[in-house]
Amino acid sequence: MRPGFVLEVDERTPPLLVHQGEAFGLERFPLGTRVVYPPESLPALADVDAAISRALAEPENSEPLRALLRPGMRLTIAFDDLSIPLPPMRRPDIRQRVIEQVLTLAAEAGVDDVVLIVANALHRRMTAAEIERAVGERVFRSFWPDSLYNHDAEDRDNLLHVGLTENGEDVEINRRAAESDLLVYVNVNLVAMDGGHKSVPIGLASYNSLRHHHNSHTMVHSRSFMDHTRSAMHSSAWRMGRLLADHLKIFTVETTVNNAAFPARYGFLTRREWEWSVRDQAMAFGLSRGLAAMPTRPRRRIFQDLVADYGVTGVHAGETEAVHAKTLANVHRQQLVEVDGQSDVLVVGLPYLGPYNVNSVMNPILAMCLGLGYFFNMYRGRPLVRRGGAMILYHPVTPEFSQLHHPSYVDFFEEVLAESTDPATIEATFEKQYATDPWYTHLYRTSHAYHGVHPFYMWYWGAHALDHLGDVVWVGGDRAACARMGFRAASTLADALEMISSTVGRNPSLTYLHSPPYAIADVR
Amino acid sequence: MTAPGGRQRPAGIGLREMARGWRWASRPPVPASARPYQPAPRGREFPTAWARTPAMRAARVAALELGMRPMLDANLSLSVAGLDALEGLRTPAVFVSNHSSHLDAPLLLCALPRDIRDHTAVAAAADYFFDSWWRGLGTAFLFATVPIERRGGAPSSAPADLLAAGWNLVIFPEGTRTKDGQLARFRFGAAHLAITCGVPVVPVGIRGGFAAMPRGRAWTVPGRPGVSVRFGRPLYPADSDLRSFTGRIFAEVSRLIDEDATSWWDSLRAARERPAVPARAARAARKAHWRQVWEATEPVGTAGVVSPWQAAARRGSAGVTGRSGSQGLTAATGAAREAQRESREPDGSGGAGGTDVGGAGAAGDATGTSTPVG
Repeated sequence: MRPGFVLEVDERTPPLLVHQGEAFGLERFPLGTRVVYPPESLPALADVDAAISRALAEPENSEPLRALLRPGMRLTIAFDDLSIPLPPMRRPDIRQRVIEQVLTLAAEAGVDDVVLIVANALHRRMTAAEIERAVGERVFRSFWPDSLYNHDAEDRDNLLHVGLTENGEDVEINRRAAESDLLVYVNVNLVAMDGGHKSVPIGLASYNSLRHHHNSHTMVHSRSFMDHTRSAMHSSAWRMGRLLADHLKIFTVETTVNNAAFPARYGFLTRREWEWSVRDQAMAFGLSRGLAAMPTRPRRRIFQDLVADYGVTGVHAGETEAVHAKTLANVHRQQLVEVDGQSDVLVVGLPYLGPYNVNSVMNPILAMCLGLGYFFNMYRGRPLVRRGGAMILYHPVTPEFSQLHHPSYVDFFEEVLAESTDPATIEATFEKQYATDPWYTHLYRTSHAYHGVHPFYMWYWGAHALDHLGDVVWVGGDRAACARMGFRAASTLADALEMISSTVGRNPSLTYLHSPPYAIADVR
Repeated sequence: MTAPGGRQRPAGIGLREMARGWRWASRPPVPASARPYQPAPRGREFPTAWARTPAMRAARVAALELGMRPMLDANLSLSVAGLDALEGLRTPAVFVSNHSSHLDAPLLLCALPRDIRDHTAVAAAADYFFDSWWRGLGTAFLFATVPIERRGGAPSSAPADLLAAGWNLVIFPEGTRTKDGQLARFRFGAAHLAITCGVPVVPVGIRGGFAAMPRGRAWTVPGRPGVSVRFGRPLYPADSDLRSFTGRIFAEVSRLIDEDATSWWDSLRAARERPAVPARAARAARKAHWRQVWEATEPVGTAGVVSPWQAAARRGSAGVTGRSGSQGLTAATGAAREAQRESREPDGSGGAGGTDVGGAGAAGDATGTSTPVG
């Protein structure tokens, strides 16, 4: 396994792959451009089931799970929803493997009262098929629908206000989880942002609790989301998690995956371009031309059907913070790339998939969140781009919305962004109205819609980038949609560089973050 | 799902883009910053001691005299000048030359007087000439090469050991052949050896080699192009430091090339105007690439070409050479140019003599009159 590295584009460098939503292209970057390549995939654990078994039997700072189980107890198992990993992993999902072992131990201990809850917070409810895919047929058939369900953040009867943190933050989570004798949380840690106290206090929380850390102020002061010690959002979640740990026995199981983000036949997507074989070149050429000629629906189907060959690199269980420290070490081992200093311009190509459009459409707000919220924040230490610098993103930014999944996004895009694009202004003026809108709440609870306030949170994710950057240009973006969001669109990279020359000058230093697979830049 | 109009879609990757990007016509290149780190090879050096045994020395004399030199004669119009500067040379010494082409080592060895040549080894890049056993054996036999490491790492003790054993050493301190015919920056190795071993440095200027066999060619260009080898007076390190001594060597080699193109007197005057520090000199003299190549490929000499048979006949009639004097290897002397030089160099005492390698100089004399050969 080769570590990640920073390439300097020279005359010998072939054009580099750039994701552009449901397409990809090749781009010739100016000479001297730095390209951050993620490390190659770590070798997967040879025997994942044995690793899970060992983690449950020899947990961190906790008694073994078997010792925590007893007849007559209330056991709740919560697990991450479909927003991670991306793309979804090949079956069997790691959540299924862990849950099956936990349930086996529970059955052996004679535990009867078991409930499984999808920790989807304000995300859309997962469909039965999606849940079955995550937990496996055996678990699904045993518990669905009465004892296996989505968390409902608007079900007042099934929420419990546990208390206030020392900063006065409400801690309100799912009642069943809060009143259980043991809560087992099963996590998939794709990036350093996930896991730890972000799991229970956020995944099972209500709007009343989430608003304390999902707001424009904490997001601006989260530098970055990938470093929980320097993230205001994570600090708030940590305070809540510690309060919860005093009230509730939480047994956390965290898993990490490697960088095999695409199936083997699409190896060119993860391989370094100068190492592309003739087959890779043919695949890249054929696929890009085929996708370009294809109607939208089958093209989207091809992308949404992609499953990753993720291999599991670590399983740790026990007390949340001790487990998360080990998990982070695994994530860093897989994703950390040392980068020497900042640059004037950061370039990223946005893929077709973000956490909030699995089996759906990436609308402009989600594209903004993916680019300015996630990719901008893929750093530790300092951002890849200097303060006042520019960011160039590749994405079509098609103003296309899923009415099923993102109904409030349509109104946010048409009404809210027409008024203002400033996160703090939007928060003060519109958030309450959308968060309490009965129609959005109804769709969230009964259909498969994201909560009414969710588009606001997406916009806040980009608050740090908006505060930090001097200019944002979308290559290949829909001009009207970009303009609505307060950005500009360019046809080519050359045009984009021309447009940002007033901000960063004629000879800016460029860094291209070659992702996915994911890389966290450790900027020195 | 709504899909308002105005959607854009990338056109897909173009075939020409792929072909150019991955250079289908040749091997796909690897960006410089992506090449894996290769530590300098250590511990095992290609054995070359066998090539310096008496038997091999005798075999080498035969190979050079009977094989290499006739071949050079047949393909090039050679002239050698400045051998009088080697009179009284305190050996061992380090011969330092510009590196114009693969012809340099055979040219220099053929140009050296036999008694010096018999104990002269050529320092050759370990990563190029000793990367395979057959290449290493061949060059070690023909040119008595010893491998030196040019990619860094622990310096080999072989060159210093050779000097201590009384062998002269030929070093091309540019480290590689010229890309445009111009003199590149000198590395410090030659000066370091001379200072640490307390031996003199004999500067050598080779002109015309780049035009005769530039990089990428496996054989000389047709038409027997002119090539000249000019020796300068030995330089002694005295109390010089590494940097300043390297600067002196660079300046002298540069002047010798200049002298070959003009005259001793003109080269002295030009050297006075030229900055002494090599890097600065190179920067100051930076020209467009095509101009540099154009200058470097200017034909050496303008007179008519003498056939190798004539040259051999002249060598045969002249007998064994001395070190003094000025003799054309092919005696292809341009009369007009010689007259011009004689008018510039009234007594030829500037060390600008030329000598037939291994042959009596038809035009040579004790005063070292220059005999440039076209």
